[in-house]
Amino acid sequence: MSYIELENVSKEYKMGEVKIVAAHNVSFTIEKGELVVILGPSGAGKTTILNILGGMDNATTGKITVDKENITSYKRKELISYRRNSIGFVFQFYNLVQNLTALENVELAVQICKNPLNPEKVLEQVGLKERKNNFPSELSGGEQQRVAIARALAKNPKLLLCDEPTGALDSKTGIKILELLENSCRKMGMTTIIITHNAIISEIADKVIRLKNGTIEDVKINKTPKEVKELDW
Amino acid sequence: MRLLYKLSFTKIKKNIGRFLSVLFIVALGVGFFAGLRETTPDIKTTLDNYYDENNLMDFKITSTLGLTNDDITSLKSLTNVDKVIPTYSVDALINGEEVRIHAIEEEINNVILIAGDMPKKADECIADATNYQIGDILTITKMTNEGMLKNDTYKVVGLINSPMYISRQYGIASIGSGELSSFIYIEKENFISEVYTEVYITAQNSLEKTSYEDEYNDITNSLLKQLEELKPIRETKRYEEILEAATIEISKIESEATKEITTYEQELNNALTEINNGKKTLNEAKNKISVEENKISLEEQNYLAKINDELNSWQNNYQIFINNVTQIGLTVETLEEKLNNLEKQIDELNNIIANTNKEDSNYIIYEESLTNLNAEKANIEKLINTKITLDNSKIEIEKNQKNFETEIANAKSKINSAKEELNKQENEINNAYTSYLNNLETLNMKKQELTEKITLAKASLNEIEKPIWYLLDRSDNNGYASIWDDAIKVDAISKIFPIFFIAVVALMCFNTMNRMIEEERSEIGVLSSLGYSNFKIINGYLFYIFLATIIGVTIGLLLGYTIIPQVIYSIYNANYILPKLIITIKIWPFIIIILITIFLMSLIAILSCLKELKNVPAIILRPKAPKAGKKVLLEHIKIIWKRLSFTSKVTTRNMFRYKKRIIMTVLGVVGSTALLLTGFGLRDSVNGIVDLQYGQINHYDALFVFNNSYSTITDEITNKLAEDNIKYLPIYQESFTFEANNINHDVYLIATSKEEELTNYITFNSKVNEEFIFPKDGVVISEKMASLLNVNIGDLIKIRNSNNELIVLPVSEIIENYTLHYIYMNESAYELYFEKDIKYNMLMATLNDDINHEELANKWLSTNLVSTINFTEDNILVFDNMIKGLNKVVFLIISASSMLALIVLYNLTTINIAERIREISTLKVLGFYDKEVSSYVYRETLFLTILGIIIGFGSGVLLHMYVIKVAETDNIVFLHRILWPSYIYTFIIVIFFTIIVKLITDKKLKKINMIESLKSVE
Repeated sequence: MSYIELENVSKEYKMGEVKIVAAHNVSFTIEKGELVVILGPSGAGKTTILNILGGMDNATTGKITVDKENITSYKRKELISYRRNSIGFVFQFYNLVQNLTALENVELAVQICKNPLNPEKVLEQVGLKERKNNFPSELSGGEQQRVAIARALAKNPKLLLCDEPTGALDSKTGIKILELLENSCRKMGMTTIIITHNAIISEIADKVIRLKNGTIEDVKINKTPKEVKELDW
Repeated sequence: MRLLYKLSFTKIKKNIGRFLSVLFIVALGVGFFAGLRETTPDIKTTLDNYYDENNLMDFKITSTLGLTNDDITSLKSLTNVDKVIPTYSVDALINGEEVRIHAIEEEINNVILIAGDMPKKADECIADATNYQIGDILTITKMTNEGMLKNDTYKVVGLINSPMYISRQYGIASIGSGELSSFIYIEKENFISEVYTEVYITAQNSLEKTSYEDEYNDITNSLLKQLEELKPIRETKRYEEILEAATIEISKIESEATKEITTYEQELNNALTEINNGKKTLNEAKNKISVEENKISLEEQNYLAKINDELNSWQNNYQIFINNVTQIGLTVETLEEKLNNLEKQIDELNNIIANTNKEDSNYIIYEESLTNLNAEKANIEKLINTKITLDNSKIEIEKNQKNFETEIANAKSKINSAKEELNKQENEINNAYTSYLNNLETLNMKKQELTEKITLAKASLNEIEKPIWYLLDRSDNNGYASIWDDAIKVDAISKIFPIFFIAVVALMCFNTMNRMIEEERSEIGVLSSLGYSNFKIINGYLFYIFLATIIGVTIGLLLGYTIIPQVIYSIYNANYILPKLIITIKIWPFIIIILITIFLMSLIAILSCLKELKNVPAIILRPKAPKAGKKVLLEHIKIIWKRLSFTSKVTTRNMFRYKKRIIMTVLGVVGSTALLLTGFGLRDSVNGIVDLQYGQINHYDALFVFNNSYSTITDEITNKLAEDNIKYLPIYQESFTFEANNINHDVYLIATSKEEELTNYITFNSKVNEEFIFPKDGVVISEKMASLLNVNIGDLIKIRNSNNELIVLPVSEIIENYTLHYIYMNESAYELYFEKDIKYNMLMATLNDDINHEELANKWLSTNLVSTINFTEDNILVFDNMIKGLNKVVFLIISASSMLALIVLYNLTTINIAERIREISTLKVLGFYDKEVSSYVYRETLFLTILGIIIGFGSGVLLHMYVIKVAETDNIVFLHRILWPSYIYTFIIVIFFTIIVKLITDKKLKKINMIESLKSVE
């Protein structure tokens, strides 16, 4: 049994009379420590999948198993617990708490977790040892995203979900962020899912899942994933 | 353009809570503001209307000697006067209550018939609706001017209110306990009086002016001036008239008395003459009698001499006779015997001679013897005849003597009875003389008396007091001035409360609009980039604001105008008898308030819009940089900061991040807390008064008001008191008035000869000295009176009795007292200042707990010893009613404050959430449970709320102090205290609303779509 399994997961939204199918019969598996990229144009249903997988939304039908836990039937509170202990999120717009320093942003996440890592150490790992007492507004975009990643990692989650992590960054900084994610996956063995519309990024993945119009177009396993620095921007 | 309005509706729909919160806060602020502001004008309108409808007088004139038709004519001739209506009233006791009886007047001081009919018969009356029932039979037991009314018994046929009696404290009476407790009106024809007791006057055009306003005062003052000018003229005139009449009267009395004396004198002289004549006659008679007496005694003497002569001659004859008898050897007694013997011898001899011949020798002898014997016999017979003659003459003499003696005795007795008669006459004359002397003395006394009387009368002419006119304006009506005073107090309060409300409201709206525009920055940017002019964009927001404001203001004004004046007005019902409140929604203030509010709100909207619109569209379109985090001051104090938990640190920093919101939150909570505390505090200030006054200070259960005054309480009363086991202290109590700040207040003066015992019935706590000592030559006054008059120990106070006479008393002590005003003094002080002995007219009594008050009262009233019994219990009831009224205001304040708290908290929390939606979403994504998110967001609100409560407690105490100072009525001392439960209630209410808002917020937090809010860039 795989670390993460999605079986025939569908998600429908009702917008008044209209029914919108955001995901349809999506099935895939992810192994522990894998770096997975979910690829697709906007509106393909990537975020829906991420949300469902990240415990921010329930699937309409289908079954999701994470580390042997069936999360499909999770209630609101169970979902929160799931997010709390099992998932680390990295967003396009960092979503740091502006009123907290870098360190405090990490601590914010950590203080509610079961087995967190030392926030200061994680910040050191992401290269922000010197900037830990700065507020987000005093940090560059890249630095902010590092804090966001540190915050996600420090939770010591089962799964790191990154939604367009480089979307708001210039390519140089973006690469640094990707390197950080790659590192955390390879060195710390963190199962990482990156959602992007950028096909180039998919080259660093162990597994690339292509989505289109809410369905899986294909799942490609990359036997020899490239390192970030090898990517051609 | 139309699209923009459509957008406005979309905005409303999108965030109905925000729209409603703006709407309600406007409604609350405006409603409270307008309601409180309109209360006093509404009351003024209502009262003015009441006065006008019932033709309330502007002035009332009474005079110590009553008013005459000449007075009325002079009054009518004044130029500023409208109506001059002379009429009557008298104070009476009816069923032990002090009742003023008025004559019904058509044109002035009309009464309001609440039930029943106007009187049709002379023995019917209309009576105070608060005291009587239709059908009650009212019997007058005592009157200040006895004989003033034709009837003593009246039947109640109608119940009335009177504009003359607005206050439930009717004022002072000149009878009974001195406190007027009711009033009735009867037909004018019932009064029997030479002079009018009072005259009611209205000023020209006064009806058109609104009472209490300067215009009204101007009009009445100009009349007052004329009245004041007329007053001394009429007083002097009346005085002269009385003086003249009295002088004439005196000379009339003098001449009559002199005449009487002269007649009397004449009579006496006649009597004297008669006595003298009598005496003369008597003396004449006396002389006559002595002459007669002398004559009789002379006659007697003569006669006695004659008798003696006769007796002597008889005696001589008798002696001769005896000698003759003795000569022949016989005695008077043997004469007859000798005769008989001789006759026998003669017979025998004759026989012998007859038998013997003449020749017998013896014959011659015999013849010879016979001749001897016959000679002897003739001698003896001659002697016997002499004896008979003698005996007869003796009898004759004796008879004559006897007759004469009888005659003399008769004459003597005649004289004696004449003498007796004379003595009697003499006595009579003597008596007549004595009575003459007495009468003479009486006459002299009478003469002296008259002189004295005339001198006195003439002297009293000088003492005739000039009649005094009392010019009384409407404030003679006990409630007229005080209700206005109370209404002005509301006005004073209405000036601080709304400012506070409006400030909070304006800030809240500003904050909300600001937030809304910030949120819709991108929309503004889009519109701006599409080429919509700033004006048009702003218009869209203005429309939103207009809608909220107009609806809000309308709701607020309608509710505020109707509810608030009504609630406040209803409080006055405890102290006043009032007509229904007339709520006037005045168009102009209404429009002005709407315009001002709209102007302010628009300003807020425009300012908020312009803040965004000053940038070019491109910048507006770009997301606004989130507010930068900042270290707070506390972080520099490492020792404390280190000790704080992570969450506390976050909360601390968040609090200082949004300073505007903090200020708003704290301000809102401070305001609500302060208002709530003031509300509850008001209750504390008032609630304890009754307990203190009637538990800690006054200990007597009842006041017995006597029908008479006593120097010492009679045994009849003491025995009856003992029967009911009543402990008592006789006192003298009289009602007075004193004037402070142009308002007349009633005060009870209590004098006692046993000040030591008085302390068993009243606890005296000095407000000035450490220890209370009953003053010997000054008076004790209650604290509120001292503060109203602004006097201290050593100052003088002026009080007036029911006849308006002024009495000045020195203050020697000021004591703790919470309700009504009192002056206490001991016997010596009373005698010193009133120049008369103390006479008890009441007694303070403590009763057994199990005694039935009604039965006791009936029992005592039926004895005719007491006119009424005032139970302390009834006083307590009056104040309880007042407190009930006040509780309504408290409720009003509490509900308004609660609404304020609710809206402020809700609004601020909503803005808080909106501003921090990304942060909150992040927390949710990070796996914070709902509770944790909620507490993360709400902790600061809670903290600020508690901070606000603490500051609010402080400001509440100050506000409470102020409100109490302003709201305190003139006959009550409010307690300057807020009890701890009030703090707790306030705390609980604020926290309760905090929790309600938290629950609402929690729901909102739960609904936040974290995905959406995280994906978007604002």
